[in-house]
Amino acid sequence: MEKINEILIKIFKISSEEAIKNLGMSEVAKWDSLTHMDLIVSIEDEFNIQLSGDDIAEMITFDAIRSIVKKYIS
Amino acid sequence: MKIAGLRIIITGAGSGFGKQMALKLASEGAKIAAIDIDQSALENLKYECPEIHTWVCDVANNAMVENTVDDIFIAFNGLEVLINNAGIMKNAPLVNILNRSDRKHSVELWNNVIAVNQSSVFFMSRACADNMINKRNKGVIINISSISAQGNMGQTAYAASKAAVDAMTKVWAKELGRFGIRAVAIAPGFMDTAGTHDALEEKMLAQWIEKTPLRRTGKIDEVVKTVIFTIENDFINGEIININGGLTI
Repeated sequence: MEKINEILIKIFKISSEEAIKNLGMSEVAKWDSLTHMDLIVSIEDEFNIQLSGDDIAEMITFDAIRSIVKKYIS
Repeated sequence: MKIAGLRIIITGAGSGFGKQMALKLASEGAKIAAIDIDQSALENLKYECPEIHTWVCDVANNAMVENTVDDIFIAFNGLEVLINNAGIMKNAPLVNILNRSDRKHSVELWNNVIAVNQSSVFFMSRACADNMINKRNKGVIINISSISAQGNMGQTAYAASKAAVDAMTKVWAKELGRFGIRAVAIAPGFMDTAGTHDALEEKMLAQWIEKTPLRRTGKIDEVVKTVIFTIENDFINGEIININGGLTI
């Protein structure tokens, strides 16, 4: 999950301390519909996966992102 | 992208620019979905090139667009190129002082031109982009704009609709680039087409030619070549490509 944290830090311009928390969209200033698209593309490229539309819509907290990605790579 | 094997939608493909694009791209091995409101025009196109697939659709009607695009994605299982070519050109001054009954620019004409030239581009692009993103198809949206986007006299509605097309192109280039989907507009100047001769008096057209450094109108083939160049060059994005013989320099 270290790679996910790196992506979160890069996309949302947050600190490494914030990346390990379970923050939601409303708590991350730079998390909007456009940066969400960057997030999805970065995750898909990094893990070589293709997320479903439902999973993309459910990835609205850091923990949700981690558990959904884990589902694809495990 | 190489043309052969690409899946391409062309709106307004029954005649003019769209028809020539469809025939040329099909001849180079692309799989073409030709859309037009005119069924007989599509039948003629199909007669000339049976490999082209056709769909009758009013692209100014969002419900029809959604159904048609869904059908095409089912039939083609994806898409690389959307060419928003459908459009109409209607001229009217903002205030016509010669008209005794109603001097003001027709609202009906305004709504019609905006629906066909502007809303259709929005409808087609949102439907195609959503499907392309879902299928992770990379490609390009090509919008046919016009020199009129810079403000041709007597073309309030047409100029506004084409300026909007230019603006949407730049927005989508920024938004969709992350998915590998480019957006480019091609803006022809005065071309040697029936539409140009219908819309402009010969005297006025001659004046425009006189102002053009190359001293002539453009040819449809020169627009088609630009479409091919735009598809094949994967690093062109967000540009408004002018083809006007230097008229605007």
